[in-house]
Amino acid sequence: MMFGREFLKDNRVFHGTTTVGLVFKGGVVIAADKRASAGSIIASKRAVKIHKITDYIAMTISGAVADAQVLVRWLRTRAQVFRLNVEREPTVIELVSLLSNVMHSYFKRLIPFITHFIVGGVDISGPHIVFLDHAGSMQEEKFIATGSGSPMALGVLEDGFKEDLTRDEAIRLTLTALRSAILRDVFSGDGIDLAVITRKAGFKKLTPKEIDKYIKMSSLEVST
Amino acid sequence: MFLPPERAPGAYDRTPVMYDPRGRILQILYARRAVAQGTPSCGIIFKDGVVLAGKRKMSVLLMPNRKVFQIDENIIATFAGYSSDGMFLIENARDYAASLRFVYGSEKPDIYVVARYISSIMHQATLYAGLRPLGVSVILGGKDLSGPRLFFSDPGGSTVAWRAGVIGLNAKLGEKFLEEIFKLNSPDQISFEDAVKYAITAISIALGYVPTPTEIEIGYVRGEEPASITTADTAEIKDLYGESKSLFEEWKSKISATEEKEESEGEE
Repeated sequence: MMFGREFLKDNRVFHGTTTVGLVFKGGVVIAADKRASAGSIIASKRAVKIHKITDYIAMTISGAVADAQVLVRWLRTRAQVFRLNVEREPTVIELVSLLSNVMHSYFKRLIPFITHFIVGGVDISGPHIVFLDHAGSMQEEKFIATGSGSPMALGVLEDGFKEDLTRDEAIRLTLTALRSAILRDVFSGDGIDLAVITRKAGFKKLTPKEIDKYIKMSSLEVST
Repeated sequence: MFLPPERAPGAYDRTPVMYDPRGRILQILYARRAVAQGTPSCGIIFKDGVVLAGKRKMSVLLMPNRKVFQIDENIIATFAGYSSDGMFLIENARDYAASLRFVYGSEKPDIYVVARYISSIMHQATLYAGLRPLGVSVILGGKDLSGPRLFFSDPGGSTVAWRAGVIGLNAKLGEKFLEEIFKLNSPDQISFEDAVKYAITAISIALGYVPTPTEIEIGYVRGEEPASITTADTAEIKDLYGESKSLFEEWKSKISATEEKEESEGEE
């Protein structure tokens, strides 16, 4: 039996998942694979790793599923109460701070939430992607990947990312990054979920058909 | 120390933890009296939803204040009485409804459960000598898995399921009008448009005049839509406001006619 930080030292814990998030001109793209692994078996082929928090903010989860799901559910309720009491949409940083405070306090008490998040959304000051780790540290990024496939995905993003991508370019780059990870990481796969958040349309999850269309456009022709 | 009631007639209203010899809790009666001075609000169940209406405070020096509040996606509320007490309950209700989502994952939190929670806070304040009963009544309404629902919570801590009702100043006068309506119709026979009309008329009757459209705040939960809160000057409600104005005049002349009749009968 492992407790607290000891649990974190065990690198099996972070074996699983690739999630990607990036900022483009006027919005953000977040994406994740659908494989949930437990040790060496695939626990689920249809895991949901993209979660809507408000109409304009969503997050991807990686790590311990139970921890992540509880935090997502909790954050959603806090965002709702915020919206009702303050009478405006919360900003991305406000929600991430809320989450960070909880995760950090549990980290300090040695019962951390074993999860990494990418929180993405559009608020008054524009599009934001924030990375949040199990200790509660938050870092705003232009592009980021988490999970066991993140080294492969980050390599692609590092190469392909530039400021002010268009929506289509951003989706294609995200898919290329995610598919590179899926092709080389054993613990990622079984399909892709992708969501785009813009100020006008809010949170929009792409249908599998739309994703296929973009995959055909992207440079990688190998099927997943 | 303790004098018999004949020698200390006012002593039973010092705290809410003591009954008077007639079995009443005077502090709660006083709290209801505070509610009866608040600006009126009204709630009505109609065919596939709930309408709440209230008169909000307006002046050139004030930013628009709220009278109808959203508690959750499917729940709205309004109160009459001390607004500080009211806001305290509203914020608690929002937290509680959100926690129902967190705990049960419910898409539409149960409205009776939230109403009971509001009432239980009010009830707590009647059980301790150091506390004062809250000086508000709350109407909580919306749609949940059981359909349209409307609940009334009073300072004593009771919850009553309503078809329709008025709280605040001259609530009885407004309810008299609603009684006439619900004598003839069940909620299933009342359309959204009718409900808005009746709600505006009921608070106008309670006030004794028809407030301006911007003064009337209307919240509704209709069909499967999430709750929305607007004022009576929006395109959808403007015409209904005009109609309720004539309903108000109609009712006023009807009332004065019956009063005159009673008076003349008294003279004979």
